[in-house]
Amino acid sequence: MIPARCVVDFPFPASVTDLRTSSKHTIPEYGDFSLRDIDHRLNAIWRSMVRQAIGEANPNVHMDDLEVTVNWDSLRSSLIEAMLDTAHSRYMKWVESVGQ
Amino acid sequence: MSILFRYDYHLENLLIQLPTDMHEAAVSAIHAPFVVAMHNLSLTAPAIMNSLTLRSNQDIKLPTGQGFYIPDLAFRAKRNNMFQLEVAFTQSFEEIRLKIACRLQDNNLLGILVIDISEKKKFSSPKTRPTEEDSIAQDHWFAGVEREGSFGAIKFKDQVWLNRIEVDVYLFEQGWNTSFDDPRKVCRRLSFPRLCY
Repeated sequence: MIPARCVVDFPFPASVTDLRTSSKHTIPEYGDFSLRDIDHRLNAIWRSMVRQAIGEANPNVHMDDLEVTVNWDSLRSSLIEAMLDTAHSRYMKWVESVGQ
Repeated sequence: MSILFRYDYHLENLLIQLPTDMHEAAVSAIHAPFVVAMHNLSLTAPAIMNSLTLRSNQDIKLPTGQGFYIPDLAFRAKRNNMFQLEVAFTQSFEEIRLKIACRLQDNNLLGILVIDISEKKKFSSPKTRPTEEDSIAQDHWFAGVEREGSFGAIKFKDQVWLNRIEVDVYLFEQGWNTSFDDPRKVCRRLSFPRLCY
């Protein structure tokens, strides 16, 4: 068994400004595994969890309609912002190292 | 801000961690859609929220019965651990494998989503001493980063403050253990196109 793996290789914008002004980015797929494949498997797990939680069938819950949608673009944007914050934090630590 | 004390029984390590920006960003990005999915579910089946829970930073007993671990996110259905998220920033892949294999000994656990963030070169602070001129406002600092041009590793004043980053997403499902093959490498292109070293 090989776990699903995907390198999240987002098409990075040309600049920080582009990052903050552009709203749409596409997620490429690679090889046999992709984020879509991971999405598919995550949804199967989500439905299994709900099934386990429901126990007896609940007529109001239609398993086929259950969906969890991870926004990979949001992950990417959040990480880029976090990278900037991390870099700035490192810089500030360096600046504040004066006198230590 | 919460300080995390993590004891990895299988690694015999006590880690005292401050959550990093990178770590929290990834956890939030995965947490949000599951909260939405649970909310949508609660509209038609409110009672299900009594038996389906999503927690962060909750200690869970290791399947071996000895020691505890704290996943970044944990789903439980009827008190069974069903699904977890683990975000790793600058952890070795071997360390991740050992963690996951140990946790998956819990047969109820359907899978563990791993977001592995690695800085491809260890950061080291500049050897030069900062001067008074280096004390600048945050806005000016970010503006300076943007003036560096093409967005790659994050530079300011000719110094790299964050090297290129690679993010791997893995889904380890029930049944996997360390005797199986490692995940297949499907792409090795890096997140940031500009190489600074």
